[in-house]
Amino acid sequence: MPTRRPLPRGRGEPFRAETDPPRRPALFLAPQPYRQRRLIDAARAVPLFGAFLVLAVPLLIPRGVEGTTTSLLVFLLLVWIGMVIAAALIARFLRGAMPEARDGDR
Amino acid sequence: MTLDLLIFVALLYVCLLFGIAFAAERRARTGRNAWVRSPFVYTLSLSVYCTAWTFYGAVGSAARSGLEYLTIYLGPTLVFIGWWWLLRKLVRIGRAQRITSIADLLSARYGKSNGLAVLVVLLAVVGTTPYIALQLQSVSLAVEVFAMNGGATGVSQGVTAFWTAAGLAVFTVIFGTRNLDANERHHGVVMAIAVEAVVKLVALLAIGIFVVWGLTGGVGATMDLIDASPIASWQVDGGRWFVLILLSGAAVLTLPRMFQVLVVENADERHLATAAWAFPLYLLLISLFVVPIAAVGLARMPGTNPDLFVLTLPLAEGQDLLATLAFLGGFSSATSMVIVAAIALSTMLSNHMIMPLWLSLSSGGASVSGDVRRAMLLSRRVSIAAVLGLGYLYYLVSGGAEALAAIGLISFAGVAQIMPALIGGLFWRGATRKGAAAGLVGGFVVWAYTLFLPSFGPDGVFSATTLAQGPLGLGALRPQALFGLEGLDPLVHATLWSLVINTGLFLSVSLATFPTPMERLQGAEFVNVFDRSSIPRVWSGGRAEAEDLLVMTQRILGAEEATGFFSAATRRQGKLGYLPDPTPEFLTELERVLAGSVGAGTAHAMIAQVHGGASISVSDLMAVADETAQIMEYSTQLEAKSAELEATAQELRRANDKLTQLSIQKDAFLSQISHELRTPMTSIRAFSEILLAGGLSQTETERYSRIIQDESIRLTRLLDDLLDLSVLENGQVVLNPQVERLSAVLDRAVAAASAAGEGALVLRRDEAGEAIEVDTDTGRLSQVFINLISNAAKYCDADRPVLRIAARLDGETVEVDFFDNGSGIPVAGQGLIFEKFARMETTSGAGGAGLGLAICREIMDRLGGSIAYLPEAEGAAFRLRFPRRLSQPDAPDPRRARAAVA
Repeated sequence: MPTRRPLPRGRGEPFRAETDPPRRPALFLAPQPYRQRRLIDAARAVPLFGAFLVLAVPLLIPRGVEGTTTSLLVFLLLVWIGMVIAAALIARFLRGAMPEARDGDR
Repeated sequence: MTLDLLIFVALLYVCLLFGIAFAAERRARTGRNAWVRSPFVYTLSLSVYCTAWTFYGAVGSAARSGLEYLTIYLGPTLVFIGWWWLLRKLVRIGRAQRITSIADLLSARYGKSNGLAVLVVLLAVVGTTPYIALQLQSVSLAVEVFAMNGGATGVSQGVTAFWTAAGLAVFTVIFGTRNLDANERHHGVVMAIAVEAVVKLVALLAIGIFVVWGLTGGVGATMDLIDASPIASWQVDGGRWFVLILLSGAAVLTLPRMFQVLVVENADERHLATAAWAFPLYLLLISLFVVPIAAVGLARMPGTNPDLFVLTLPLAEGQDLLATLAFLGGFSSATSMVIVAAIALSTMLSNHMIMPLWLSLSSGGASVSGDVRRAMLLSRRVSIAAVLGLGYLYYLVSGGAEALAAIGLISFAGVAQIMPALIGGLFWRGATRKGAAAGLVGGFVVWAYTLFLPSFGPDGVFSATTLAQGPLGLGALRPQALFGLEGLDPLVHATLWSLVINTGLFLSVSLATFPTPMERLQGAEFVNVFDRSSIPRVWSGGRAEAEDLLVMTQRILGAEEATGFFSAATRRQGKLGYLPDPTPEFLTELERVLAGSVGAGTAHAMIAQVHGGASISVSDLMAVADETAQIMEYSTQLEAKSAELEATAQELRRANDKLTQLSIQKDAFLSQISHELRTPMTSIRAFSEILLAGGLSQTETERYSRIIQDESIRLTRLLDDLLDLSVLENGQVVLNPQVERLSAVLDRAVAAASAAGEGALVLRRDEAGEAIEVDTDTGRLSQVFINLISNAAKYCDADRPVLRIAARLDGETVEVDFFDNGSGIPVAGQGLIFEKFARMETTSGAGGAGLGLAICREIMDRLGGSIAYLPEAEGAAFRLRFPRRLSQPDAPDPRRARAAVA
């Protein structure tokens, strides 16, 4: 049974050892890196979606109508909280994909 | 609460901050800094974004224009939620390149150009000075409110502002310039700011809770109160909503103080993952109670300055403790902003303006001039004092009051001019220094003309006439209605024009100019920062003297650190002593360390000086790279050529083998054909001699004459074949295409073959398959058939020879197979059977001269088809393929033309 070398990098990076000659990256990913890619997609999509809600909805609300301030305030706060929760969930998983601090040489 | 008590509390608070900063520095020094370097401290330090302008001003803004204040928090929220797009890259680059400020970032990206950095520094100073003045004003206003409340009078606002500025200068000098390495974390400052961040959040939340549950009676009642207030309806102008979110999103990246805490003070990239959600949460909490406070203030204290509701509401309700907390919150907001802004600005000023100037003035260059380190520190400290002095001066000149209120947004719009060059630099390798400079200058000028200068009011910088009718009466150049774009909010108008002109210039000049090698190198480093961790080697080693470098480094980093760095490098090179070889790697590393102290541009220039002036061999490097690329291409070409040669040689070898074999065949044939010719000739000669001799009976004469005739027929046939082949090979043959059924052609061929006397062969034909109309030279085709049939008859060695003929139509191609049940052709012979003169040696009494199949091949060739031997069949098997309609490119068939018309 051949022993498998541990991957040289974080879980999410496309696996290629830095010393190895460049290989053609595999076309399909294993489930875990695949999940990580999709998390990155989510990290990219959430702000776009949030920006749409935050920018577009207030522009579409009629001006000068009584009581719109409170409802819009509640709406924006809900969007805000939603974004924070989504970002927190995504960041929790993505943290592992980021490199360790290299501060030892300082 | 008396004023004295307030001042005492404030001083106590300041002492606490000093203590915290000291403790944090000490812990960091002894290495027990895990707590200081937590992601939450990082997140809290980002709160320098929330200045006194937002602490007090947000409530004021909400009281005046409803929800518009939210934009200031929503922009950064979106940027942080979208950290994976931009912030991650920014922080990675900041760490990889040891960036010391936003000016340094642009300078490093665009070829370590100091000119560009100077532009950014100017922009930052112009944008930040009024902002600092605003903070000083907020502190003095707050003190005044307390003084009025306590009945004391005669506290001059100017005095408060002065002492605040002086105190902040001292704090910043002490904790902001402890180390020269601006890229090193200011642990003390960051810790103090984090504490201040907690204080301002707690203060605002406490006031909010007091207002909602203490004064109004719960969330529902507060909602009703808001609905009944003047800000109940949504009034925000769509353009402002969009532009403010855009500007605040840009500001969180480009404000010098934000860049300082976000990138420069970042200790670990992964902290960003926490800040990505925690900072938006912080902003959410900060803005949560702003509208309720504004509504309650409007209801209870109409007519007073809404900017100070945060203070005046608790004071009016007799909540002295809460009011003090509010004061400390505002104080924290103001001081943290001023401290970080002063550090950031002083780093930029000293690295990009004072030091380059000083270096160029001191004639001997970096290696021989005096103590650079001391000069650097001094210039930092002077810069800090200058920045704060400038802010104080601005405060005095502007006279405080209303003019300052709008400065926050004006400042945002000013620093937003950095955005195109920044984003372009991070994501587009084609962005050039000239493009960035053109964009910055253009944007800066338009911003100053349309927003900053008019902000001093009518008859401030521009006269009222200029504002209303344009300079010299040129209506198109009216500062607040540029090119006739009227009726817009001044901020929207200015942002629109400045960013459009900025981006336009940036893109067009970048596209039109060519970057220097250094720019291209750095551009690739920045844009591909995630792909490559290697540093490009910029220095070609050899000429720099290690000792000179050590002297220079000592003067910047200090003796101890410099020696440590040099000996470490020496050990890495595997040498003894403390002077490493000035290899390119070492020089690059040294430059990066120096860049952490003095900025990329200056560090590069200093090493260049020691390196002997000629130094920067990027162009050489590029040339070498070009050469290498050429060599590599050349070698690839050589390889390809050699592979081609190899293939040709192989082909030649094959051809040669075939030729040799053919030559042997030919020799064999020649002897064969001589024999073939000689045998009938001998008979003819012998019998004709007998006939000439006479005296023979009638039957004898008849018999001998028949023999002579048979032999000459045989000779003629042989010569006919030879002639036929030579005609076919030379392409002189004329084809006569005609439409005929394939079965008819086969019938004729079979008849002809049987007539020739090969009758023992049993034929199996496929009537249905043969029902194909062909339009080709059927005469020639039947010649092929005859040949194949007679071959089978001659060579099939089965006891009861059977020939199976199968025909079918494959698209427009006709396929006819001939299988016999003999033993077939041995493998060795298969390659040669279609060659001329080839004949199997085995057979009994074969009459041909070995030309049949060669003729067949030539004919099939003429008919546009092919003949192949099928080696996998049991007996000898041939397959003919030819197009159903013969196409003759040189002689169009008239019948075909008719068919086309029909």
